[in-house]
Amino acid sequence: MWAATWITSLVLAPSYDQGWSLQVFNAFSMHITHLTLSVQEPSSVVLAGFPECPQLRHIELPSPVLGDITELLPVFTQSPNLQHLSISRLKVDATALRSLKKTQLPLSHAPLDTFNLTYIKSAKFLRALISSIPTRTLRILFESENHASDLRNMTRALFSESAVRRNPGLLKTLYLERSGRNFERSTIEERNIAMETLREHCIRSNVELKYAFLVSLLFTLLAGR
Amino acid sequence: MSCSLPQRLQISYDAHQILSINRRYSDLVGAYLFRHVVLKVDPARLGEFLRLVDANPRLPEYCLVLELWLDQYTVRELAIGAIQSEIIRRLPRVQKLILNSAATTLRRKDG
Repeated sequence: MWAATWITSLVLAPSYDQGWSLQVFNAFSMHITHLTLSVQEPSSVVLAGFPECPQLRHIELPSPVLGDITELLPVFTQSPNLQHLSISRLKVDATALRSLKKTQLPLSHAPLDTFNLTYIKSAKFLRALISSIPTRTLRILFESENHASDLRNMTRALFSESAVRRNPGLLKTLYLERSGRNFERSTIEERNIAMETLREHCIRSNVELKYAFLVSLLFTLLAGR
Repeated sequence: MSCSLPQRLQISYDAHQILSINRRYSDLVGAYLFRHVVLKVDPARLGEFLRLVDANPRLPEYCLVLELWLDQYTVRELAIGAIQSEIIRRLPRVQKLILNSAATTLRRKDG
């Protein structure tokens, strides 16, 4: 006879009844280690009622689950052992930056092991976000139109005096991926200079830097027409 | 050259007739070690699935991932307690639960 196990991984994707989703979440919250909230609309009800998850280590919040960055607050407060956080395509409006600063994420939470950010277009917001959530490994997929600016913002966010003072020696690995889907406004020279500056900071701070440029063949063919 | 055995069993709305009338379907389920079970049936067909599980002890022994596709009517009718007591109790080794949205069943649309 085999032993019964707990449900440790929960993927919630039903898109019509958030109250029901929250009920399911509550039923399994004490034992889950991995959670994916993957729905077609912002899950404000689920996030506002985020139950205590003492074992939760890994959470994925693909778009459009997060309607506002302040909705991350209960995730941090209710998951004291959170180690991996993934956020994609967060909508950033005019008030988002103010909201983020006001929220003061992540309070007294321990640093994350991995923080994945995908397609967050506002460079200022991205900078504020990675300054707010200390992590050992940061993986970012960019899809902006000015990649040189992305790289400069990244350098300031991670290696400015205040950033280094806040979390000295914490960051160990930086993965940067750049999508080739957008038209690029910065010149090759600007990108090379920004990249070289970032690389120098990484070497000085003993941070492993990995960089990839994702090119969509279909986009390249269409753009070339 | 090696050949891998199927590990994912999907039972959808259309399968209910097969479940009811074809005993060989049950034998087929028992012949493989399914680790991932995908269930797209409404509550009216749930009993058939539960009988299938009861008739195939290898299913609860090997099933680690359970994926339920539920339509909005099912969500209203099926309490989470029922999922725990009826389905997960029968598949005690399940570690990963995936809950997805299913399109409304034809039967319900017609009704």
